[in-house]
Amino acid sequence: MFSITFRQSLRTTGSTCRIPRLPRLSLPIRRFYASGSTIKAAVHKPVKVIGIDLGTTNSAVAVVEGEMPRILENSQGDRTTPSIVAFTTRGDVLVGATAKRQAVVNSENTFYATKRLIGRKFEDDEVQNDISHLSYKVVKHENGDAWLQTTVGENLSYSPSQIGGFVLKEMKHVAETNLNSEAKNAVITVPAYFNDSQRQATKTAGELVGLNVVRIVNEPTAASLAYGMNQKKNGLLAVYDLGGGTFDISVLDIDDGVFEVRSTNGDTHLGGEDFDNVLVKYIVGKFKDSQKGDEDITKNRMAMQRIKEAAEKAKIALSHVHKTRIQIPFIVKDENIDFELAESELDEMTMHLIKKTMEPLKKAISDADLKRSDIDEVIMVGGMTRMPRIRRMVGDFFNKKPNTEVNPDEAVAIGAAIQGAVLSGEVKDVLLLDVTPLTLGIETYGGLFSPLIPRNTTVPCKIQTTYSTAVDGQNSIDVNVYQGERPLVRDNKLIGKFKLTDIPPKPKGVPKIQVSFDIDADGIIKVSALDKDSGKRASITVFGKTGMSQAEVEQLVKQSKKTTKEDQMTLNYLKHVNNLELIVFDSEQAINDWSRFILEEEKESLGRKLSIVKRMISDSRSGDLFDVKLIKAAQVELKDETMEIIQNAGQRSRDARKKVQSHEPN
Amino acid sequence: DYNATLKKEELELIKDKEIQRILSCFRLDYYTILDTQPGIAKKDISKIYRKKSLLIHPDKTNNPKAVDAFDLLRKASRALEDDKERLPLDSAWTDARRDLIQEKGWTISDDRLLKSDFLIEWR
Repeated sequence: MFSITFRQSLRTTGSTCRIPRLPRLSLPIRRFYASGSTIKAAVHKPVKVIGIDLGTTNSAVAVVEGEMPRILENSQGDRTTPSIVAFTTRGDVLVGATAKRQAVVNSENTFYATKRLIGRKFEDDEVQNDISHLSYKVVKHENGDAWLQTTVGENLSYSPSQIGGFVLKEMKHVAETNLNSEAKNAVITVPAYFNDSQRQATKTAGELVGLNVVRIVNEPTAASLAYGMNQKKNGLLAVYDLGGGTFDISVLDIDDGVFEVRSTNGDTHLGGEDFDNVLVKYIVGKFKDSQKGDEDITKNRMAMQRIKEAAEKAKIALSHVHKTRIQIPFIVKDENIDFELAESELDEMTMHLIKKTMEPLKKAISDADLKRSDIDEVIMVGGMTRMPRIRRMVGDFFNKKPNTEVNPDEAVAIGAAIQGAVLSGEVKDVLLLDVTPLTLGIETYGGLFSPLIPRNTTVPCKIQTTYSTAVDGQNSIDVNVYQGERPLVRDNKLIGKFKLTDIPPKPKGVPKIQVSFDIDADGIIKVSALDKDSGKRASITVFGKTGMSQAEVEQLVKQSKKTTKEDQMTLNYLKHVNNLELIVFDSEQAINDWSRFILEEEKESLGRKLSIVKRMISDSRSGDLFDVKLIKAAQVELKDETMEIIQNAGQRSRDARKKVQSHEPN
Repeated sequence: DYNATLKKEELELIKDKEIQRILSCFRLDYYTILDTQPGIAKKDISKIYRKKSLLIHPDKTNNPKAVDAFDLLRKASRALEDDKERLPLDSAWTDARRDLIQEKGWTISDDRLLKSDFLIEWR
């Protein structure tokens, strides 16, 4: 009964088809410091654009369908996904809730809050400060950037961009499962106060996983879109955005669909994580006061991870109740942590952090040439804004109750999706006019910072300046570009150094090199130069920049593209193999159950086929066999054969019963 | 849909024309760039700026010159919103107007001063 076709198809196992090597696709990545034309060659109108809020602690993805934005749920049914990536000893990469769940047992390889490290140098004060709180290891990469070190496998180190990439890949996957189609184009959000390197690193994260990042949008601006789309109200809006790791304040003027950012300010290193750290310190102190043993709990990574989780839980609870209990049994040996924490205590110990948001708030208002009372509406975004003390303080500041209509966790992703729809042309009559958060300038004689584009300038924008030589025959000029608000360059952030070379030897002051600085709509800076005499483009060499080199990025993109496609194919195949194995189990089970009524020859025939199929399964798992058609055919035929045998057996059993009944009348 | 396509084409044409118009202006002639007259109120300047942005912002059109046109539009409106920059410009305009009236032998209250022919010549 095992048909001939099966045997024929089995023969094809001889020519097993291995996982095909895919042609290496190279993604065209826009060069950061393009020496080319400043005009975009072709503005592509992407089809469907998803919006991703890549948060410090949680991420979300949304899409606009039929002019209505909606959040897409992940496979667990959650509307946000923890921005946590873990590497296991088995070589698995876990993202989201699964990574969070195993954090206690694998804290050294569980990477959280990496957004606070993205686009930063290892030596940065903020990074050095964080290292003491983090359960994983931060190392210095060759180029001076802060990277993350694993202790599994070959002790690979990852850039924060790569970790962000894993999260983005997960969000892309969430979107694709929901939409049932490929999601290639994305708008990704960043804190408004992110500088050029941090923006660039975020964009790289998207490109690393094969996303076409059509725009980098500021988080508070995106939130304003989510608010403005529903309300259709005009007026001045303040967005107070305190998330897991960053704080932003933006002031916008909404006028008939045009969302014009008037000013923005913030702190890229202030958020829920800092509140957690304060609370962790408090809990540790409280424990030490009553500790009987002498173990230094801060050296115990697992205990610290448990305290951190308890701290976060208590903090969240205190947004809804006035008192909560912090209980951690058997934190070390036979000692427990168990005490009550009141909302007022939390308020008091984090007051210095809450107050830290005041200065940027005042600056943003004055930069927009406004008074506090001019603001028509205040919206609060980011999980931390659920803290009642923060709501009260912002309300007092503006003398206005903050609007609570937008969801603090979802507004940013929804806004990103709306901007995506604006860029794809799906939503018309809406335009975002965003600004650059930091002043762009160059270093002049004596380490002075000479501003070129002031902060809060609407992007895209550009400025041209002419440089000349200082000595006869000089053939190159060095230009150092900085971002920041301080008068001395050493207090600002070095964005890049570039060198104008191949200047024709002429007396000093004669050559005229026109350098143009562009800030594109992503807030990313591009520099190009033109020799005015010859009309030729001057050569620019960039070095000392944060981030990955072009070659590095391309290499990683290739790798990830290759693995994603291969992964997908293998995954699909292995699913079929698993199915087949289930059928094998079922068949064996059935033979056992009906053993009495199955003919020997049937048993033998099915047994033979089962052993062949089992070999196919093990070959597939070891990678020696790769043939979806064959597996599918085996599934069908094995199922049919078993069914038939079972039916026959059923008939026999009924017959037997009848016989027994007729032979033994009671 | 035939009509929709036609309408879209028309809108694109209007956008391209506006970009062309802005790029052909003298880059310091802020009033002409905004296609308005001296004496306009500050809040109307931002209104015009936003309205024109909806047309020519690089997010709204495929025209590769949109970046430059938008840059001019932005600079023009920012300059006119800033009194420090606007006042010297306005006095230059007033002088030009006076010279033009003298040249023509008109009086200050002449009706022809409000006609578009004069406004264009003045600019």
